[in-house]
Amino acid sequence: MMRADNIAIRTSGLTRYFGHKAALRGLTLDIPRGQVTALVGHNGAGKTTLIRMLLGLLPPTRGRSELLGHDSQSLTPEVRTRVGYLAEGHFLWGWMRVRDTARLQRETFPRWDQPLFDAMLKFFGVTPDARVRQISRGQRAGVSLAMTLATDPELLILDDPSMGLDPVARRALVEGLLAFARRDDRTILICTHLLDDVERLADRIAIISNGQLLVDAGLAEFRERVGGWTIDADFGAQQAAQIPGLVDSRQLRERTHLVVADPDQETVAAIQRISGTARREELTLKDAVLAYLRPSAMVGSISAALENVR
Amino acid sequence: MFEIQVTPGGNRPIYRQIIDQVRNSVATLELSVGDSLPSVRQLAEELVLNHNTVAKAYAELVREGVLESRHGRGVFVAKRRQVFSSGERKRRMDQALDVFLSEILTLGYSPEQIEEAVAKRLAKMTANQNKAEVE
Amino acid sequence: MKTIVWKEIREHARWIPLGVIPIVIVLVLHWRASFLIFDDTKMLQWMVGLVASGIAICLGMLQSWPDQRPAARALLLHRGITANTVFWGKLLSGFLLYAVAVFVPLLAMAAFIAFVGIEHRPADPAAILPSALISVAAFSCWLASMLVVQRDAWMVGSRLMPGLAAGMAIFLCQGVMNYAVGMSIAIALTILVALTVIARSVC
Repeated sequence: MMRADNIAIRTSGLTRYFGHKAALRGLTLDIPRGQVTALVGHNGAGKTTLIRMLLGLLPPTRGRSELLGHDSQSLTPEVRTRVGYLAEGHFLWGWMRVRDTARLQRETFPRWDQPLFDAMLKFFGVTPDARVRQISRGQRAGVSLAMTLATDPELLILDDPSMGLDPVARRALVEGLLAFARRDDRTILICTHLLDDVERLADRIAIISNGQLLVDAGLAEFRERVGGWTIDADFGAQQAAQIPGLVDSRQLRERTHLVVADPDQETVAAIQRISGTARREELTLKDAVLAYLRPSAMVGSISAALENVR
Repeated sequence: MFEIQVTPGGNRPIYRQIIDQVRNSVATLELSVGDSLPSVRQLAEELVLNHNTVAKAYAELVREGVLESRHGRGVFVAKRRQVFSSGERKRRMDQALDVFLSEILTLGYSPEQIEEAVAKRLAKMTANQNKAEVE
Repeated sequence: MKTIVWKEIREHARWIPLGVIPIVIVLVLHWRASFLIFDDTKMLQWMVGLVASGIAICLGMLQSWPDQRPAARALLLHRGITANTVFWGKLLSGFLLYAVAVFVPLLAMAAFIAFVGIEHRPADPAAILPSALISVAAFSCWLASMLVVQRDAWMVGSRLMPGLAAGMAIFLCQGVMNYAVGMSIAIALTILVALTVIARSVC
């Protein structure tokens, strides 16, 4: 079977149970090379579990995944050196000196770039001689990022890299990532719930909720294909069933706000029938994403919407 | 000084914000024909954005004829010329009018007040253009 | 692997004094308790064996438990080496740390007996030897505690099994020692090797 060279990460029916609880269900997702893909979802939606399985640190209950064409559960050291991984929490051993973290990487990553590491430390304002337990959270994130980027990976996987960071550190992180993404053929997969950062960074967006993939599309495409309406009429399950592609409805004071995927003339007509004074409104990215993340009673409609926004 | 500012988290996608601001600057003559704009890379770095976003905005502006790309030398403000068919022009105007009017009408002005405000604004913009052409 | 060894030693060297002190106490107490002749009594062997096992178990836990956390584990495993190399690095560093904590005091004791002690009572530095051998066997407890921490076993029994194996190794060693020193060394080494092989395949 011909494998397309332009897919950095492939997953197929990836499922993981913890006891009786499913953290991920039948996830099938392709992450293309050379682009920044943002993975969005609640804490506990399965993002970290997915990342761990992709990196072969956790076996799946069912299904399989590939990194750079290699099966995740049998990654060779050579493949690992081509993948950078920043786990959530920016863990580092507290007793180490910052410059020693380079020592940790230098031995086993053949393309280690010491000047880049030093430059990034400077960028984040970290003295190489400081011990990890002495520096701030934001500085530690900078060290983690420096450790990862200086290994010159083709594929960079970040799990919630901005967690616990102040706005200045966050901005520095985004700048560092954009500088990396600018280079030839670099792929980034970033798990985050900071949608402003997603808007700056991402070419593509994937939304996971309750262990299931709801959206996998280009970011601009996603925003264009999801529309919002405000109506003043009563809105319940009966009305919901009449609107194809309805993703979510939310009551705010006397109005109902609807989010619909791929609205066409039929959809607009259906909405007009329910309420003649319905107004189309431009959605912020947050509104569009939250519509998919909110647990909604209209499960049937969401499935229809799924098909449209893939 | 021509400067672009983008705000993530708003109603308009960022690339649209860039397009709007460039178009606006050209219309109000903050930018003149022949002025160069920062390269995709420069603007992306300055605004802390994915360069594909900036590239998309520039590509659209080139497609609309607002900007032109001179190979190897960057992106410049193009001479105003018609790139759209009359049908496409009408469609774009109607679309812009719908957006504009729906925003304005919620403010509660009367149609006469709106027409007056539009006429005033239009006169000011054309006056600036004429002034520039004389210079 | 060098980096792993360096990391482990730097991280855990601080605990060596905590291991040295009990051994020294045991040796000093035994020295004081023997009026007539300092001999390799069963008591000494058992005590040293016990303390050494304790040190081995604690060291094994220290080197395995904290690095089981997902973030630490990811940092350790996601690099250009195999998981086996990580294990060997930990094993080597573990043994080095253990050796400093256990064998250095024993050696010091032997030196003490040879140069100072014989003036006080009849004693032979070689009296330390059986305790040293027991300590070699006791290192199997390091492997056992590693295994116990790392196994994903869902039955308490099978999780403790390596611990039992290590305990038996030491017990066997003690028993056989009375008959043949050579035999005990062979058994200790065999069990050590077996546990290493098992541990390696599991990690």
